[in-house]
Amino acid sequence: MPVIRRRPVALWQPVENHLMSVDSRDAVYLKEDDAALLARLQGAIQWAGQAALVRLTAVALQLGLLIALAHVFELETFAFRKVMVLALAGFVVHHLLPMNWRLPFFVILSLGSLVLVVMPLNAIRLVLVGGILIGMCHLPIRFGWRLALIGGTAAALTLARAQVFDLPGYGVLWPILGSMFMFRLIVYLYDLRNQTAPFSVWRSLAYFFMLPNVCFPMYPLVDYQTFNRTYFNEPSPWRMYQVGIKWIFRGMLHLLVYRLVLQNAIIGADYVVDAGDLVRYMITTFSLYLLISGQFHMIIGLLHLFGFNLPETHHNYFLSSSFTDFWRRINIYWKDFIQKVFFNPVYFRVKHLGPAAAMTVATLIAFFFTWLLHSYQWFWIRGTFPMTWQDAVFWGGLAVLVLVNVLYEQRYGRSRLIKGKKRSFASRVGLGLRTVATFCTIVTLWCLWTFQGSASEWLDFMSNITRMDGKTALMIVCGLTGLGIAGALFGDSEREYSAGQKPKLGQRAAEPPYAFWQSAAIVTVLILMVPAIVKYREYLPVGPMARTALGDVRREQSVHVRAERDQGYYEDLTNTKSYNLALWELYNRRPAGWVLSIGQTEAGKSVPHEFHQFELAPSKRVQFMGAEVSTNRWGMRDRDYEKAKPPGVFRVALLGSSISMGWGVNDDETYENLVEQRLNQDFAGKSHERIEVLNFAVAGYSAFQKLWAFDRALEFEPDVILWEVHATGFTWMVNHLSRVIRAGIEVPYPEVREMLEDKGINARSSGLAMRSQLRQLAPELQGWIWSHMKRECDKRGITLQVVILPRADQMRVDEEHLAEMADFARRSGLPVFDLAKAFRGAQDRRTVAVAPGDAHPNVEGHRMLAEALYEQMIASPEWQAALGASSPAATALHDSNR
Amino acid sequence: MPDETKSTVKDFILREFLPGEDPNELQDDTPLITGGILDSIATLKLVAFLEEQFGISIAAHEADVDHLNTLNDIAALVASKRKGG
Repeated sequence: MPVIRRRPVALWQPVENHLMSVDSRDAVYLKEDDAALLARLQGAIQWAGQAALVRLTAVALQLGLLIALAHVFELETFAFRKVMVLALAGFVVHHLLPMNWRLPFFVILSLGSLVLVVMPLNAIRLVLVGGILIGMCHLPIRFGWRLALIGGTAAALTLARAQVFDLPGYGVLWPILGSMFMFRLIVYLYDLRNQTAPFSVWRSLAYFFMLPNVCFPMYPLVDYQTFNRTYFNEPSPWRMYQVGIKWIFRGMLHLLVYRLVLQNAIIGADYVVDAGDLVRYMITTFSLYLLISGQFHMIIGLLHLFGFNLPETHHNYFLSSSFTDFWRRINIYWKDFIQKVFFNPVYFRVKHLGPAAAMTVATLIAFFFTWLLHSYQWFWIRGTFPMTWQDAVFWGGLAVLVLVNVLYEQRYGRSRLIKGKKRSFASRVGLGLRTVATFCTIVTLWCLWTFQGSASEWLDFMSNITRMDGKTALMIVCGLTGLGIAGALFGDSEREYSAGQKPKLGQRAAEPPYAFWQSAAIVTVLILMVPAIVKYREYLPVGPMARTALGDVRREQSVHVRAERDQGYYEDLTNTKSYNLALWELYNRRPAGWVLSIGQTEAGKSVPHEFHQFELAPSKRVQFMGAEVSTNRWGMRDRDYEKAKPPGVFRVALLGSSISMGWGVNDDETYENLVEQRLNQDFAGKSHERIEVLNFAVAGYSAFQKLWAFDRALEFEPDVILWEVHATGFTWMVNHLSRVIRAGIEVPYPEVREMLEDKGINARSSGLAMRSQLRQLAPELQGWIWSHMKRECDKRGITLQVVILPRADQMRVDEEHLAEMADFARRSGLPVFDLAKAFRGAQDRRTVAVAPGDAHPNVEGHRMLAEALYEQMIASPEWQAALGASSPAATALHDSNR
Repeated sequence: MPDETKSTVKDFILREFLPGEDPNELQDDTPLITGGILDSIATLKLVAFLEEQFGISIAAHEADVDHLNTLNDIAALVASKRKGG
């Protein structure tokens, strides 16, 4: 209950507005002896208490809707979604607590999020190291000694991170520990040295362990001074809460657009053959940054709900109108950090050189540290310290561009506006043109930064811009015109800030009252519109491609597919699976101890000097992906079989990769074993005494590796050979071939060697050129594989047949691709079992996936695959004849199955 | 004295960063940094002006939103520097 104190002060606001400040300050100041006003206030306090509860409910409901949205669209990791639920409960309790209890409660909640995500023991480890570092900052010794002590500890931690020695239990925690302390400790020490902010145990713990940091190795670099200055810095918390909700929603929209780009628009560098592809590559690569801006908006929005009224982290960075403007709009917290810790101190030290010289020195040093600290960040998150030519050119280039811009602005100034002033038409046109020029330059630099290859390869790659037809040129002009218009209209909007400093009593209100209900209503409607748009996409005035893309946006594509894309700096830092499997498992509800490659178990056998590179070791029994995997004496994941086909046996050989091998399912749960069992149950003893299905599938096998397995399979005298196809396209073939060619391993098929030589593909080819040429040659190579196999099969009287398999996260675009592959197979003269829609019966695709983020079918998925394959087999006249199933009988069986 | 400081600084800001702007729009509590009127370069220009105009020395960590966000803040900073000697 607020305390009413009798102190002289002028009331300049309506009572209700004034009372809003009661929530955050627990005190109202009145004029002495103003009894009438006191009575009015007491009545109003009661009313405001009820109104506050209604507003609290409204904010909580919006947050609940956002959590539901995150769950429905599978946004971010499972761990983050759990923390969001914790945050919702925490938000309500936090708001109802007295002011002086709120910060300790936030700390407890943040520590609770550590326990929730990384488990209690790991949480203790984090707090232990963090506590030691924070404690060292406050030791009662000279600041220099404290710095030395912290430096020594940081050096020891660096050695442990570099695995010079082992710090038991910290392997999984390095990215989180790094994200909490690698930069914030620097800022903290800076502010401690200059005493620019208040310090206390609760403030320190809140700053370093703040919720939801544990879910994000890439975290906004929150400034300690700002963190404290903006804490409940408005008279009313409602605007702050509502802005927080708005930013969480904005972040989720960024993540959805990111997913749309990732699933529908992005292409690998080796696909680029003309100007249209190149422009698409450049824009989509830059657009992947939406992942970071989306995450940062959500994080800062969430912090708003706990009173941290922090400013925006990103502001319309696609509409930057100069390089300094870009620097001020993208990852603004980083810019603020560099300015505070490097730029300003250097500038003030050398300002005697004159403004231009000081600016030059300070800017170049600031960008040098930006470059260095990006590698430093990489080190703490991923464990290595990369120094690449791409980084040097990107940061160096950006430094020069920003410097030129800075010197220009220093000399000629930059037009500024106080709200309400309008630009002239000419000024808007200029703004639009500058937006286009800045965007083109930035995406070019960004493309260089993320490019995997040498400088000369990049130049060759960029020469694709000369291969432009009229249609592409028109599209580019239209796109840039649209960007220019957007820049002209919206490019000069200012960064959304917190309310700034605390309004002083008696001061005129800086802003009109915040329209809370209007904002809450708009945001609620917008949140609800997202699933509605996706659900009712058929009624939207958009083309089929857009509808397909909207349908697919509900699910995140599996990490296996994502890993095949080109990765950039930020992609690599956010994809925890690629550098810290244990952390990824914690984030994604995985049972501990899973291994993601059969090669990490005894059942995997690497043969790096052989064409097929990898095989299964014979006679092994291991735990893989939480399931039992056994190999027979021939190195198949299958039961044991004689090599020579026994009399009276109908034998099928299955060539495939992980889905057919079985991934995260036990030996007797693979669709291949289930089909074999079912065929024997229904048809053994008819045409054949027994039916055997031999599983030659090996996880990760590409087309040529399956071809190698085909030669092995022939030794087992099969009657039918089944060739698995799934939606990885030709990527695995390209990966495998480029790897063996570069390793100098001879391709064991003379005709294929000729095809490669004709294209000039050899061990000396540059990586990108080779991949690009292989990509173009891939359909021809696939056609050759099938015709070669068909010839060999025909000689032996074997039927060769293709099986089209879906993944659990199969998307409509993948189904289109699978349909193309099915057509291709039919045109090659191969019959097809098309199981692409086998999972259509599942209410929710997640129920057939082996785990979140892993699209391999689980037990239920394999059961559905087996059923679909069996049905297609018995419906096929050739199979009916082979199995001894008369057509009516098979039909009856088919009917009974249904 | 603070009013004189504010007036001097206000004239400078209007002249340097807001040419053509209505002086009444720039109030003592108008947010300069958080309101987007002073960016990092303009802030450094303002610091150079304050040092020269008032004969004071401003440290790197003082060139921030806490000390320079409004005319009131700037006047307080100048006053504290002058008082401190």
